[in-house]
Amino acid sequence: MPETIALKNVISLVGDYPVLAGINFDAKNGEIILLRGSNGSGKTSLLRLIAGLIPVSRGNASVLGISLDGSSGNQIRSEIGYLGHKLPIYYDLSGQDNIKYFLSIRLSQSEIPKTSEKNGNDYLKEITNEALALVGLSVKLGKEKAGNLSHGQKKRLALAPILWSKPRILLLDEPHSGLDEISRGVLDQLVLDAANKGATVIYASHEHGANQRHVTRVISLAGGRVVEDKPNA
Amino acid sequence: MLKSSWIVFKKDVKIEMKSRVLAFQVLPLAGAVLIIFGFALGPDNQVLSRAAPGLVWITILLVSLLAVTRSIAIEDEIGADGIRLFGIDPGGLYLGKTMAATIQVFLIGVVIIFSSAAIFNSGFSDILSILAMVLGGFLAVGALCSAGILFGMMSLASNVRETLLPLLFLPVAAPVVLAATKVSVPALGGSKASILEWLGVLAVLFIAYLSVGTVVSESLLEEN
Repeated sequence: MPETIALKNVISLVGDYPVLAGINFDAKNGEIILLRGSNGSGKTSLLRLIAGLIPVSRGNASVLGISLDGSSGNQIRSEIGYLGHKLPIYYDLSGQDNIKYFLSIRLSQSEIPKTSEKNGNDYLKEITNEALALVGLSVKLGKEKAGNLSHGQKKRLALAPILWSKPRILLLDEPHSGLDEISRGVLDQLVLDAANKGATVIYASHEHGANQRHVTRVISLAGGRVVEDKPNA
Repeated sequence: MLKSSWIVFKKDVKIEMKSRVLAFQVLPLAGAVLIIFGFALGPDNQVLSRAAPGLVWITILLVSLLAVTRSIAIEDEIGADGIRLFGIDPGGLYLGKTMAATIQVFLIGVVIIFSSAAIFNSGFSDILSILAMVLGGFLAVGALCSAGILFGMMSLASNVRETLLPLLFLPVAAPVVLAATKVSVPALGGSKASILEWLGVLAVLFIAYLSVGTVVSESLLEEN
């Protein structure tokens, strides 16, 4: 199976501080990888580096066959879904309006039917409802102000446009934080569905008891380095 | 870029229509500022009407600063990472936010100008002067928002944005406020000398700030 992510001796400096200090890491299609480590071990930095959000200072890094350098971030980001600590949600807009906004931005003009303005709007409405359904949110809930939704519902709302875009790599930073067991189960199922469709899923968690049922590999980080890489038993 | 700026513009206007922060918080604040200025200057009609144009534009400057801060705070909800990951074109983001802020501040500015005529007892002169003030007002607000949104985007990832933004914004806002005050003087009952020159200054400032902002914003988010 081809490698979607290949990092060799990667060092990433933020200022003078090495947030990643010689990472060796690779990932293939359909893998679900759990990154473990205490706070400051480099989990978030690794996810951000893969997403092209922080620079590769030294070493070789390629994502989806594209070498990561100063200008390549934009090329890979359209293929990557990233859910970080800050949820990409405008709290004053409804869930539907949030999804519509992100999907309109993501879609190229050619993908929206252009025969009339109404058709374009109808198409957007249709795919917005599809995205809501994808994460198990009802249309009624989608009409609610995003700020009024529960934490778990906000996370699912934030995931809706990401999953609808069918990313080849899905990066989730502490996706279970603040969620109850039921919401964790829903999120895990969404992750599993994405992996079954061929996406490489990497999620970071500092919780030792994090649900590992669907995980294929567990990687432990400490001090910006991989200290353990093993298949999930 | 134009398509994404239109999408961003519609989103910002929709957020204001739902939250009504500018209408229900900033507009009453502007009214309170005008009234406080009125009390501070005392009941002398001549002093009030002479000071009116400058006080109106200081109030609009304050409104612009609050509107720009609010506009950037909206984007802070998803953060610079979110903007980059969703592929939002930085130039489109800049133009869309500038358009939305300009229209919102301009509408508040119109209310401020009409309120000031009553509060400062300055009245309005002929229709041409009023039209010049409206045109000049639009150019001035456009210039203020063009510069403000640019500096706001520069400070998006900064944790000292609240203090950094006014510090960067006020020096470039000073010539705009000066020119806008000069353009407003005739409409509020003062001399009509050199109104066209000041309108020209405002048009140049607006075009210059908007052009620089559009070009520079392309590289801002990557650097954040």
